Amino acid sequence: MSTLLAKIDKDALINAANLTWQGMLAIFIVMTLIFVAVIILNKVTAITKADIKDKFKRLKQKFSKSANSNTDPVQSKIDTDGDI
Amino acid sequence: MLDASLNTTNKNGESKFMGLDFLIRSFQNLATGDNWKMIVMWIIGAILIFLAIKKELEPSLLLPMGFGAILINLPFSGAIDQILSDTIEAPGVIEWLYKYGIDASEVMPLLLFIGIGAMIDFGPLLSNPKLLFFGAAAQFGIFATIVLAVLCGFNLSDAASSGIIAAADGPTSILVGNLLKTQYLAAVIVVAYSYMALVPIIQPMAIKAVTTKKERAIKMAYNPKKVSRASKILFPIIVTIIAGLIAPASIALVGMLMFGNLLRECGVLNTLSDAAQKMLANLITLLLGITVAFSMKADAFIRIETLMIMGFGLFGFVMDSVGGVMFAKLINIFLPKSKKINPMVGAAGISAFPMSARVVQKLGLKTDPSNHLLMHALSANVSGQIGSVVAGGVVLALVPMMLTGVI
Repeated sequence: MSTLLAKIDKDALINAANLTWQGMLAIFIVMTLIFVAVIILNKVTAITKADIKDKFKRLKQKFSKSANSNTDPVQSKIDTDGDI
Repeated sequence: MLDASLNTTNKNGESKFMGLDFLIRSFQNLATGDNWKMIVMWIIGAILIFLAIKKELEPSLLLPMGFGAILINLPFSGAIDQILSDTIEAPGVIEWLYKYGIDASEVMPLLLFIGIGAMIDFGPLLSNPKLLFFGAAAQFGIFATIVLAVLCGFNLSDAASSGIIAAADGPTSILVGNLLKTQYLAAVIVVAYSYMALVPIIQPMAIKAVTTKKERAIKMAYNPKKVSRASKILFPIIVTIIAGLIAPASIALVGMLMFGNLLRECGVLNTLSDAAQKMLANLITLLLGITVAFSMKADAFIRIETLMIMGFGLFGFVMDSVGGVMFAKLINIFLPKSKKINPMVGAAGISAFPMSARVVQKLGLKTDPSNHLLMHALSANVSGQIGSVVAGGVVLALVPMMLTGVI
């Protein structure tokens, strides 16, 4: 056993071990980035023109509602009652 | 190059091969020195042709390779460079093809990737992208084989070239072996293509060895999400950029594969896509087989290391399957019972497309006739196509750095 171990190029073995973990890690990193890209891609490309229009519509409504709710309560009472 | 300069003169300085003597020159050459090995190469060539025709094992490659092995192992073969009568240089077509098509630029394996890319539909993978990780896990065999080869006394370059057989990807094996200047290129190529053809025999054994019947019977629901055309078009571009930034050495491989896929998905180059899938792929395959036969010269091929590389290849393919299965089992620990992955799908993460997916489908049906895993296995299988080229690039990036002591 010890003769066999002596015959093995230890530097090459260390390099092979390093190559194994670094190689597998690099492949997983690339695949993870592709995975994230695909998820984003699927989400972004699933958005249609109608969705965007809808979103803008809702946003507009939200703004107009909040604009109404943010007006001065006294002023709005004047506006609605018509007199002071 | 074969030395054509036989001892053609007698002791009086007169030519031995006067007149029609040249007719027996080749026979005499076969009887000298180690040239009997050429006859062994004819037998190996004949076996490859037999396997291609009778057993239909990768016939498009094994048949040209088998014929090429005979062609270049004939004494004074005009298919490789010769020096006639010690003065006239006669270039050989196979050697020329090898020099410029593979050795100088790797153009042949790279062009083949355009055809392969044009054939692949990444749609199922895009609708279920988590299967991408199996394309990474199933590359484990490459690195396990490299360690084994080093333990068997191979240097790192030769070990890495042997390990890349486990990528189950012929063009990647040719490219990596050639760039790492392995002395066993012929053996690596022959073994890579032979084992790819043997996937239906090797994988079931390996999968059964590491899975239980209960695990093989796990059913997976198939609910494909709609994938937009924009996704399919942007995917090859994004993969190229990511792979290019992380592993630039892989970019020639990944880039050609993705370029082929972009031709397919863009929708405006159907004629070119068709040409890449059929004409280009067939033409390159035809030339590639007979060209790589140049490396099957008797002296380089008939040695004990060729047998060892055959063993490494088998080990690599088994470890690929084991790596994929074990990764699926690991993921299953964290998944709810209803979303468990059939571990066999992990084994389909190799590049042998679509053989590996079919193997998984068959095994699934054998365990339970209502267990259809084909679409999941196909997704893992196409991710293996990406994984294998990325692995090739990673090996090409890391090995030279390790050899020069940069790491």
